[in-house]
Amino acid sequence: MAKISKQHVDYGLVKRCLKSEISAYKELYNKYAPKMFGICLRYSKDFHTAEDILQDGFTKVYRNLQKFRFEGSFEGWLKRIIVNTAIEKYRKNISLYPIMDIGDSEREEVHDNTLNRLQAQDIMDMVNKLSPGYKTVFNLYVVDGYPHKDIGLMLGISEGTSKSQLARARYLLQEMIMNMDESYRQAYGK
Amino acid sequence: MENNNFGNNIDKVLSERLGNYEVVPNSYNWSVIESNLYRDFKKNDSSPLLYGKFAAILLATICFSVFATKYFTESSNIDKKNNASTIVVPNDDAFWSYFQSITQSPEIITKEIPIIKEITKVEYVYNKDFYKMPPAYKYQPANGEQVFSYEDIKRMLALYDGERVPDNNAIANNNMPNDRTAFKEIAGIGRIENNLYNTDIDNPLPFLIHPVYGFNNDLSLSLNGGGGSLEDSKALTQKGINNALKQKLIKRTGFHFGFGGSALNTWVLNNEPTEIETNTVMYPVTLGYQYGGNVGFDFSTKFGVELGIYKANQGQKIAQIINLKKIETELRMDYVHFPLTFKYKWEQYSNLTKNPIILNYIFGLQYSRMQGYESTVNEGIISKNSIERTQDIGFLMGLEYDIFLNKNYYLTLGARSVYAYDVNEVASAFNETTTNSKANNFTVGLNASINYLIPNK
Repeated sequence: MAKISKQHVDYGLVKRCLKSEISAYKELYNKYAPKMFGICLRYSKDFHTAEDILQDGFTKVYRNLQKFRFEGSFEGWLKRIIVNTAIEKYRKNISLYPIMDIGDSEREEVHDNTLNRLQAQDIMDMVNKLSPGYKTVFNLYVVDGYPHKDIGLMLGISEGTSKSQLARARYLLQEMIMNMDESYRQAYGK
Repeated sequence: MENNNFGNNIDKVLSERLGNYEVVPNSYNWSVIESNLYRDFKKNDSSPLLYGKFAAILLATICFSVFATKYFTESSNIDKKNNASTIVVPNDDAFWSYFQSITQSPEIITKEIPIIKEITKVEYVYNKDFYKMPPAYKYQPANGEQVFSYEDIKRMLALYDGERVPDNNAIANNNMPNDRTAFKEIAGIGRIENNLYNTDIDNPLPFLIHPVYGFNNDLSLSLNGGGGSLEDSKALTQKGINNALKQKLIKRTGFHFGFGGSALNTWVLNNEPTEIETNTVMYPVTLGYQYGGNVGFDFSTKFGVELGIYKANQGQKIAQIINLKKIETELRMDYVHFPLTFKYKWEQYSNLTKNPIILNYIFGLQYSRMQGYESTVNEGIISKNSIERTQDIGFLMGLEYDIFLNKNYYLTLGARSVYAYDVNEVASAFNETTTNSKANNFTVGLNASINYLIPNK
């Protein structure tokens, strides 16, 4: 894996953080907090939980900064820690959100122009309507690119369950998108 | 296939949109993280040292307690030796040799006589510090258990002692004048003269090694009294010896004086930082010292009083975390302390020093005069106004061991703590118009001193 360039802005920031410069910590936070908070919101059931994940995640990042080996992107490393923190929180509440194996669901067709009309916030609203189990699997697989095998290990479920959860999540999302599309057509006559 | 394409398509769209989804969090989130960082830093910086110090103190206390229990006090030995196998049995020749020596010259008693060292020691101890006897003194003669009474012991030991000891049993029975025990020069030889035993028929001594003078003033030796035997003499148990040794400690009353010093740590209290977040301020252990002298009087075996005068230099370091760097400042205060303490004493016997070791529970008051101070501490943390004062009054508590090296000198080791208030602040507590603005001091110290006891006659 390619080492992060010394000229890269993150290199200098991380080095300053390692020297316990609080201003560097804050700079690093300001740079990445919005994106990381977006991730936190994707994985949490509400805004407060997302804030908890953000705080815990960044604290964990700072505590473990010396473990960052300057290989690959700092953002990727940071993102993994935030996602892991979110999963830890999810697993603590896993009994509240049972994940059950379900069969494949049939998908309905959604037009490309419908998809193009979707804004990130619309998608977030729809994803947040999913149950925590579906949402987590969907986020891990679709958005953050984890394979089903890893998802199974992270969530303590089988690979098959992860797949079926994803299928169900997709089905529900499609349904929501189509409903939204229908409302759009009615409103604008398109 | 169509569905798969569609799935990939929707996944791609959702992934792109959500992957770039950003929301600026509220600013308080950073405050929480920053606070966590400070807490981590503070914990990492101070805890190991602080815990280390506590662990060291705890370890030292445990070691000292074990040491004191194992070597200073005799209780464990009593327990171990309180059985028949520990009976002191001298061989006959050596016993006779010993016996002859003590009847010819009392001074020899103080020398080490190898065959029955413990008995010799007992005699020595009682001869020199004959104040109080055990209420009952068991020994195991050949023909069954017998109990020495307090008075028996006194009378027995009187035979070996030049000091005059009244024989209360004899007095009570109208058998003898109250004292006929004496050390006399007879025919140019120092001898012990004693007639008490033979005349006190109603209360014969249970066993005794004692000299008997014949009509022609020749010295003869008797190993028994009241029908005892050589076996009885041999059967003085270690338990009895230990009990006797323990009891000889009791007489430790009188006037004493001494000199010593302490290593101190002071915490300056009631100073919540006003300008800086509390989680960025640490109060590390700050060593100070005091030295001086004391005079005192021990009224009894249980109670005593002591007054001291000590010159002290003590203070408080303040460590601030600024930009995650630790910056230390310090307050140093010069005091003269006058502790007035009362002691409750608990006496034991040291097998190590063969002398008393006394545990003192201490409480009292300490009056202090501030001589001056120097401070580089931020005013927002400890203001000069809160430090400035002329007099303190404090409550003192402590625990100390007096380890007697001989009958006069003893080493005192222990710990004291003082919670002190500015005198004017104490007064203001009764006056609602004034406000409390002065810092209190809490001081803990480990002290050592050497003392001299002038025992009561």
